[in-house]
Amino acid sequence: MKATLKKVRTAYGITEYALSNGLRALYKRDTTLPIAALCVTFHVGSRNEATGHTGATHILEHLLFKDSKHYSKAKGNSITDHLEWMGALMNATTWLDRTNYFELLPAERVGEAIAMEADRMRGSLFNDADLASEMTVVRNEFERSRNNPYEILDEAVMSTAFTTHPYRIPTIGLKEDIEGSTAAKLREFYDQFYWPNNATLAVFGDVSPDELEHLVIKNFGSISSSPHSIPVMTIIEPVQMEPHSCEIRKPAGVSIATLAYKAPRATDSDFVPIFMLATILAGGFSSRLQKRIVDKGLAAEIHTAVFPLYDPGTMSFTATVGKNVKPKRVLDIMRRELQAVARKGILSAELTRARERILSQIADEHDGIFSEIRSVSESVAAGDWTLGYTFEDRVKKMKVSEVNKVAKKYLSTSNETAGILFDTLSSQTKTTI
Amino acid sequence: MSYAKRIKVLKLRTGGTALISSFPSHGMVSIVGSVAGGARLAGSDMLAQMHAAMLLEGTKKRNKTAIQIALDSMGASLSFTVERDRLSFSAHVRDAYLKNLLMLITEVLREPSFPTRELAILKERTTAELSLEGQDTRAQAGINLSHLLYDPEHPNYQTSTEDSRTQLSKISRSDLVKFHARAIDGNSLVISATGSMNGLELLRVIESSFAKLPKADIKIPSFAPAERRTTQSIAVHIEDKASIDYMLGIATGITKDYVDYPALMLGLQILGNRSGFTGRLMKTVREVEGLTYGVYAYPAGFSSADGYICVWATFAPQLYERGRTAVMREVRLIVDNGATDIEVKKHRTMYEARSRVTLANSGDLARAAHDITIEGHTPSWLDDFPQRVLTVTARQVNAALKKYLISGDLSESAAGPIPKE
Repeated sequence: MKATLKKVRTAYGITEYALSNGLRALYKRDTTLPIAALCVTFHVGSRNEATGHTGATHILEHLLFKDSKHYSKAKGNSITDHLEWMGALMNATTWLDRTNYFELLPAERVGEAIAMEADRMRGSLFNDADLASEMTVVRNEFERSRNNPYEILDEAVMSTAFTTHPYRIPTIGLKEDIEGSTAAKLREFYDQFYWPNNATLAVFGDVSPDELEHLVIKNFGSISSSPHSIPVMTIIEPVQMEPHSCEIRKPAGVSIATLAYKAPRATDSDFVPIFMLATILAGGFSSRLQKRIVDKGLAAEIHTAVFPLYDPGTMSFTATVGKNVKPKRVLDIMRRELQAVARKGILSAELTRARERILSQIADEHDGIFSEIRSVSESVAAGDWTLGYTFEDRVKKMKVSEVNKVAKKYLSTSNETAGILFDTLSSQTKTTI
Repeated sequence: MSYAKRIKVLKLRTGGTALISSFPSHGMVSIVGSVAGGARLAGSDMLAQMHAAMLLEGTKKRNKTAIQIALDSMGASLSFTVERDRLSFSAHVRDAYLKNLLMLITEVLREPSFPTRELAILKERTTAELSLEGQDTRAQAGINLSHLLYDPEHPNYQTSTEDSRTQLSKISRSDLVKFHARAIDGNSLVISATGSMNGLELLRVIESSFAKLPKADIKIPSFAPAERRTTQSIAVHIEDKASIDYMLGIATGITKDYVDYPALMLGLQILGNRSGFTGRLMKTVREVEGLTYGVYAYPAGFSSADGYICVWATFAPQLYERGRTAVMREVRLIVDNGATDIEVKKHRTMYEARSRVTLANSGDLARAAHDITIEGHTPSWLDDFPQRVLTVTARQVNAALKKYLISGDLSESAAGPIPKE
């Protein structure tokens, strides 16, 4: 049957299409420069992995750069060669809720890139030999992350905060699972999730609507939708009833302290006020924790993270503890400050400053089509591609009372996970190689 | 297409140069600017860095909190950093607040107060950051490689973490005040702004904001280009790390303007294309042998001086020796046998095509316009250089690799869990 492409809606300058096989396409024309950006987001991330197979999504992402039906080393047009020779900046990333593959390239080559993305969606030919050579590569990526004390603590905090939900496992996976991967198991995973009806294609740039429609139908139209329904991850994290904590000891150079609180999913109406609350607390030059911790010399730096996720995630505050300061003292001061906000609320001036800061962040994310398309990919993964745009509207209208409500609701002791990485004595010895 | 045509170069009546580029950026303006100064003028990396960091700690008109609130009220980002010969600033702000931000930048450059209390706190914070740097495998490999290739007077020499600690401990408020008095010269200002604002209006704002910057007769210390050294090596064992950062390097003695540079740059791209997977090192050492997550070769330190060739990779301890051997093998192969005509054709086409996409946002365009001006080029360089690369031949690439990538003289630096044997 001939594939059909229907316009679903146009919003925020983006047209949404639905291909008859279930592929969703998002298109934005931007003729500022003769370039185009392309991003395929698969709705599969580490949250979809089964016990014993953690890291599978990420390894699969690596293997999707190996040969596919029409692109191979033997033919002299391997995927990386094909894209890079045409001048594309390209890569792929895996995260909790999604895997995305993206390119920025001269506009006249966009058809070739779309053809390649369509080919590897169902035509990847990875095998045992590919996995064997890629395994040490992935392991080195894992080892590099072990060099970073912030990543180590962040993973420990997530695995402590979540008791049941897969967000407790880092996207790169557990070492024993990574090493136990097989090509057959990864093929099974690929066949479960890599289908047009589990993906969103986005194309932004100097491409005409006619060309876009033609390219989508021509390249993706012949791919069938999945013969099975896409597996749905149904695990729900139980409500946290008491504070959690974890401690790590490592020679890191500095100690690091984190306070994390369970936070709503990106599509929840509480998400935007939570994001604003986090900015007020630790997001700017004059944030509360900056003034209370960093400007008093108790920490070298403080930062906050609230990610727009498909399922409820966390809002975290992480301090790089000063050299002669006890990490627990920093954690206590942070906790007291957050509890004070929960009790007494924020000031109107704080909300105004947070609003200005976030509006600038949003404008930054839309500066250039490559940045904008990846921002849209995160919204796609979180469950609604318009999130980044509606976010702006809500930020502009946010009231003090809305932020105070979420502060009271989420900044409770029973909702807290505290993590400390204690620095142990570090040493270096120099030698010749 | 032309990026150069988007950039207007304007000599400011008040001294200095403004580069104004139009780019639709959702109401954001990206600013990158600098004045002469930096670490070599200060005679100490840490003095220059603390001077830069203290600029936002208070002025004669406002204390630190007032500056922080002003920045947050604009939703602006602003940071001051130090290069070897420049004091730089970089900012993002929505166009409605541009004027206020530029006035704040000039205020902190003109009349910082360097409060003693804030200096003490900043020193504490910097001590913690240096402790982190001391455990950073990549930073330590890079610092040590610079010591193997350059003398301390050279712009590409990086201060060791230990020396930074010593320098930091000695800095007083009066050092900052004295340095500031001789470090700000409005005539050396280069400011690049990119966004969707009205260019003429922006120029007027820049001129009025920066008019009162002091003028000084700054003499940046001269330096001799690096002389080639024979092979040396250094390994720093850092406990409890999982991956080793490994670097190979050699000083070239040439700058970006030297006739061999495009051919050398292209040759290094063929060996180890830094922004992708198509370099020989990635195709063999990663893809075929599976020895690393990333391995790259690139020209480094060419922005203000004679630069060096750097090969950088990360290895698990158990694959370290095999990795080193594989990297060295690929280096020797390309030097001895040369790159092929096909490789050169493909890589030069790729370079030219990529040059069309890499500056496609206001921040990168503002940065590029600023940097090439500091290097002494006009904006047309952004269009002309890729065209020059398109004319490079395989013969030129191979001659440049043989001349500069002398495998027997390469120095090695590694940091991380170095195996005992």
